[in-house]
Amino acid sequence: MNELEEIEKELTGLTPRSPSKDFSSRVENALGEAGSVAMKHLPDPNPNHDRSQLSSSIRFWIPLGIAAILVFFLSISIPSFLEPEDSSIFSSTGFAVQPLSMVEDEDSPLHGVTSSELEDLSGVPVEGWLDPKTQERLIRKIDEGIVDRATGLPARQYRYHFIDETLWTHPATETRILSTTPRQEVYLIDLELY
Amino acid sequence: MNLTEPIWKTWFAKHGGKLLLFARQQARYPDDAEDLVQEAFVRIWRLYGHTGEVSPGLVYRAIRRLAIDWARSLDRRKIREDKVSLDSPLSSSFDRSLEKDERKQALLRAVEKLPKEQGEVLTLKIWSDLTFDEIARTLDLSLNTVASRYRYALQKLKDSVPREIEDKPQTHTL
Repeated sequence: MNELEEIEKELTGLTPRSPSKDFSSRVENALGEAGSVAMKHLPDPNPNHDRSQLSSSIRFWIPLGIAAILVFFLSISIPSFLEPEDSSIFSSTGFAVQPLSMVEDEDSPLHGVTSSELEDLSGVPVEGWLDPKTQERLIRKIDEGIVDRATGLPARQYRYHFIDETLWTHPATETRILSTTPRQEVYLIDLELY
Repeated sequence: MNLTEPIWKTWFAKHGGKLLLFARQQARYPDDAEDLVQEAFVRIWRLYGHTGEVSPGLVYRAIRRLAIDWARSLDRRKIREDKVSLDSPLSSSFDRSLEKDERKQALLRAVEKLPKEQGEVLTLKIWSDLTFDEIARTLDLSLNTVASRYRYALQKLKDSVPREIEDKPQTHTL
């Protein structure tokens, strides 16, 4: 350790004195109502009460939990005994499922599946869709208070929650598909220090 | 039982002493330090305290700006003249336990004799736990200037502490 680091360590070992009670109460008076806007919860000085409540609730829930786990495993294992060994090649309707085409179809939205295969498998037509209609809906705006920008300047942060809706329509089959996607945007409004 | 306490009290207990130390350096008169801290803290807490999270850097910056404003203010000069000024050493801002430690006393006397621009960087780095980047923003300086002032300050302390121990102030008992 060089001499400068030693000096640094010595200085760090000195602790500034905490503010006096008189000074703290002066600040409290000056703050007024602003001092009681943000409060924190203190730990309960008598935690035994909570602990006894907690242990009695644990005693109630443990047997129920074990029973639920047993039922879950039984429900998984019993059907597997009843199924035929080679069931994987059959679909739920009893017909054999053909392997999908490995030829790439550029018009298809799914990799490894051609448009016609997609049409057959899904029962939804691929051609004949109108242009999708989109709209955004503002759900709520939240004031998240003051944050520090990377530059150190304070800014007020607002968070907007949107739902983006896209509606596809297929007139020939009278089919409509509505997709909703949640989205958030954050805005920072710069503030003057004082 | 549901007990609550204002968040500012915890915040102030943690940072108040460090703010006072910085304010003492920024104030033209040591007596102004508490007033500076009170004014700066109350302003910032009223603005941002509802979030429960206030960056100490904001209060340090407010203290510095207020100190500059007060130094120019005629009203403030009148308040100061009405006060009885006490000449208190820097060690009075630290825990009493170091009163018997000659080396630490000498170290603080040397800190007090540093040029103001070096002393404020040293205080913010050592006792306020700010990074060089935060100090640069608080004092409106470049990162390089802050880093070099800090290094000069440590170098000066290293050279001057032995002299301070030799020139220990004499205490007289009646």
